[in-house]
Amino acid sequence: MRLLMVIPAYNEEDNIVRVINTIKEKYPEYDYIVVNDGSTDHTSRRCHRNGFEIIDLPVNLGLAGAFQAGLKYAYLKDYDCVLQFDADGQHKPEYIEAMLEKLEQGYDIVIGSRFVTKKKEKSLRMIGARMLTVAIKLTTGKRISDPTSGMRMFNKAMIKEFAVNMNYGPEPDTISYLLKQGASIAEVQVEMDERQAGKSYLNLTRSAMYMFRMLISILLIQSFRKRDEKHVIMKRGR
Amino acid sequence: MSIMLRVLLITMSVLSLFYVISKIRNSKMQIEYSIFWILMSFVMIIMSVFPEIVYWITTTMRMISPANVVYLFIIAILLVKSFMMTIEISKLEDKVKDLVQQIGINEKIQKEIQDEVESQIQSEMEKQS
Repeated sequence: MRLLMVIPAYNEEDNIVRVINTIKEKYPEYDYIVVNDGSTDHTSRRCHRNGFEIIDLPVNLGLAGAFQAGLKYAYLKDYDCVLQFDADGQHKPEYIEAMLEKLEQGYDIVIGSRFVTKKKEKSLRMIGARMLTVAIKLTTGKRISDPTSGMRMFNKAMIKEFAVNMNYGPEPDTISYLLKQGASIAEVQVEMDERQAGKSYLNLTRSAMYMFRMLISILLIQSFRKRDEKHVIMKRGR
Repeated sequence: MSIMLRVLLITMSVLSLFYVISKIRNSKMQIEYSIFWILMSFVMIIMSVFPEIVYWITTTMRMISPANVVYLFIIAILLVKSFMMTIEISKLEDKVKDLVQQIGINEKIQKEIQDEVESQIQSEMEKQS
């Protein structure tokens, strides 16, 4: 299985070098691609200086657009699976192997979940995550313990689907939609670190807005969606 | 409909018609998009010049005031229009996103080809020396 780690980065100059160096030194068997989402700091320059694999987007597209650029690249290069990985050092690469094993059992998506065997702590942030779990359970009948986890692995069929279609952001609502469409999704217990440097984009208002959008999307919008594949003309890689 | 409302409607619609035409003349707007506004200003002019049409609608629909008919009409059209514009914006944003992603990927692939060629040249040179 050829794995590509897609690492969207927006203004991560303080983290990116350390995160990528860890991957390159300890896990050289995994390919990676940094997708610089129009950062205004030195993210791009630091990557180029260190000779990292990087796609530079000329303008900021947001997480969904940046992630999709990485998936288009994976599709072009004919990778077997893709791992969505954070540039801020929250995700630990030592769990990749367990996730890969799960994916090889035939799952479409494997989520690196913080709460498969462990309980959610009772914080404000976890209330939101819990509401999303309930919403997904209500609409699909299946339980996803950690829908907001940003560490997700996708198989080859999913790479194509995410690469060519509209409204396929790497978010809980897409997970819910795909579950409903019959995709098989598994969860693997992982641990995550706190972000190591820099500021998180999410503050309280933004988190609340995000949760609200996701809830509306999962409960109301996703059931209307038709799964039809837009055929984008893309040249396959060399 | 009061005289004031009629005068207001006529002046506004004539003004907007001229504004639209001037924008087209200065090629600030595509003709496709201007058609809606030209039609809209024509309808407004017709409604204000021949209020009988509005009166007729008012009585057949049993509405209280002709002004309500005018408002209802305009609001309905604007709602549809803004919905259509949301669709347009979505499409545009999608296209911009595709372009941005393609630019990024092209650059990356170009660099890969370049690196490959460079390493080939280097190994050739090593062989020769």
